[in-house]
Amino acid sequence: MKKSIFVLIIGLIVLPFTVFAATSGVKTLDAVSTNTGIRFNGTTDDGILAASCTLYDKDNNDIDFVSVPVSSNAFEGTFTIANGKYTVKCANYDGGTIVEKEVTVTGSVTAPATGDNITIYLILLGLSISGIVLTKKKING
Amino acid sequence: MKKNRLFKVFGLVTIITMMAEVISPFIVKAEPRNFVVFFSVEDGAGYTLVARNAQNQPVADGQQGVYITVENAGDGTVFLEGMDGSNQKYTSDNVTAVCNNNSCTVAFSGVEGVRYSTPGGCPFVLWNTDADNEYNGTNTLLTNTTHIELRNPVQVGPEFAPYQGSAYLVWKNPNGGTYFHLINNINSSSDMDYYTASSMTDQSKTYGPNETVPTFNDFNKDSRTRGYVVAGNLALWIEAYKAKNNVTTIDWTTVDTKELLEGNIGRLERELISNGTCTDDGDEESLHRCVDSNATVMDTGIGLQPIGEPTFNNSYISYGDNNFRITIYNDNYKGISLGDVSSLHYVPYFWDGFGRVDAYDISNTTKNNPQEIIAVLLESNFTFKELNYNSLNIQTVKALDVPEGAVDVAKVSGEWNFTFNSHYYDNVVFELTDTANQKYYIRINRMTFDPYIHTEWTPNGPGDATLMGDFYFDSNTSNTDYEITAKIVYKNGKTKTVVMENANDIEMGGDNHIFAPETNGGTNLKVATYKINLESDYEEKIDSVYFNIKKTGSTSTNYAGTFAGSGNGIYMKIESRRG
Repeated sequence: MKKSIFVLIIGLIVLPFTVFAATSGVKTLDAVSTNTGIRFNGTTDDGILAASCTLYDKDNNDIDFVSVPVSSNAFEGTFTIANGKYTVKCANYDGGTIVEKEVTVTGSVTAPATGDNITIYLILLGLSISGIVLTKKKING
Repeated sequence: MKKNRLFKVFGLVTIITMMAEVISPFIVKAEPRNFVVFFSVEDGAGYTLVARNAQNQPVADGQQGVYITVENAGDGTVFLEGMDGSNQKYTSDNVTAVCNNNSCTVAFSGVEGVRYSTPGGCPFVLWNTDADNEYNGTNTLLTNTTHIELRNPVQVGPEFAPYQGSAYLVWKNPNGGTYFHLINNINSSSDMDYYTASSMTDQSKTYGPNETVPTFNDFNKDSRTRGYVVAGNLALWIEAYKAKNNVTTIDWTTVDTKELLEGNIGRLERELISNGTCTDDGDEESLHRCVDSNATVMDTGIGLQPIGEPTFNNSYISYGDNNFRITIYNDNYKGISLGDVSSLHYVPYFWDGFGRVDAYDISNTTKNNPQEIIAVLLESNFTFKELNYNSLNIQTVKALDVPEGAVDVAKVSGEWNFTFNSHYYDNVVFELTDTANQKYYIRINRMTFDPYIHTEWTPNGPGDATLMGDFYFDSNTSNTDYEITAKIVYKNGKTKTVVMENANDIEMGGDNHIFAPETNGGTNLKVATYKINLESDYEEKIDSVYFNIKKTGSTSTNYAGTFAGSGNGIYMKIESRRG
């Protein structure tokens, strides 16, 4: 019994520090998929006036950045992004510990962020390869 | 914008034009530094020069002829409309001379846009004594034997000294009349002086032959009811004469001068010509230097820049990098003053001298259309006070749309102080409420990065374009302490974020380039220029760019911090070519 209480007390002490960031700045972060990309929100310690958030793609490339105001220790913002797997990382605007949250975007109507005509090129490439393969098959076949 | 762009919106003028009715009563304030030269003739306007024989030799009435050489903006010498160029004599339609025993009043009019200048930089008005008014080659130049009388003697101290003396408020009414009011006892210090209409003396005694002397009430009755503008219907200049070589006392009544208005929007310039030989030194800021018979350099001229449009809702102010700052405002003017730059810790180099606009008209502002005031991001404190004119008395000030703690507002010793507690809050609108519950709005734009498009020009037209930006940062830090990213937003909705490259080429105004990653950017500031090369068709592809400035040194677990940028970042619309 005593052991259980001890574990419970330790758990209550440790749990918050395993869930939330330990240093002053951004404490919590959540991010969800929307039909235009990502909506995120979080909480901060007292005295934090703004937060900066960076969006990373699945290859850990820094692809977008936004700074948002903090009001009553809370902040929120959005990234307009295409479907995919991303990580949102936020910290105090003036610097501090980074808190991150992974999110998979599905159902976004937003076009891929980069590559001016990459989609067209990919389609053309696909068609070309298909054409070559089909032609080769026809010749061989 | 480039300093001269961004802050310098702050940019450039000294002549002010405005509708007469709006400025009743006027108040004028002025801060001269140098002095102007040159002017033009406006169509239909009557201008009067008063000339007299320097030796006071009798000149019989009706026995004088005068011709004036005019140069058309550098396009070659032309003559005032109606003048006989081949014989170089005046015609009574455009030039008249009415003389008494020792002086003649010469009145003339010309074609709009014709610049009245003088060959060799000196007045080239010939004075005929022949009864037939024909120039016979025996007459001497007016400058050598006679002079054009100065309307009012003004003295100023050494170069860049505060202006002391008198000034003319000169304007034109819609019918082309030109009027003069004298402002006496100007005694400018680092702050501006203000003068009311009632303190002015009507000096309009030299109206053109067909003009009627107006009063301020006449302007009130003007048929046009629009508040401001119509640049050209009012033009203002300040008579200011400067003694070089620290010659502070000159009998200016013996100095030749001429002056005319260049009408319409724009440019009003004055020309002072001393008695003697004048040379064009090629410096726009000091077009002419004139030497008297004792070889004393007597005066210079400053190029007063055009104003053209109303600066504020109920006032006009010459831009900061002019040599002569002046503001006119009317009864509806509600002004605030930011005080002198000496109270600031960070002063960009282009704010030196009179480069910073330190007085703003906040009348007729709204939350959605506030008066923008440029500040430096690093300067966390911002101070203003009400100008006493028109009884502005602010009771409360509130920062709008920012969370609690973002900006502290307090009134201390009669001044309103704002303290910005984060760089994030770089564009904050404040609501000011006066004792009559009238509300005014200002937006403090805290600037640190000034983006712009630079285009190389080739003989075949525009060449390569570069997206550039001047970054001002604390002099105790290095450009390597920061990283500037540009998020390019394409017109097709796609985006691309790139890190800007240090250009190693900093334009410090004009053609002055510093080829280094950073250089002195002013008091406690450094400046560095960053760039991104653009494709030739960037205007067709790119809609806008957002810039963010981050501190370097972040790790995978710790963020070094954002130095500048709120929301998506510092915004620049590509078509505007600047931020």
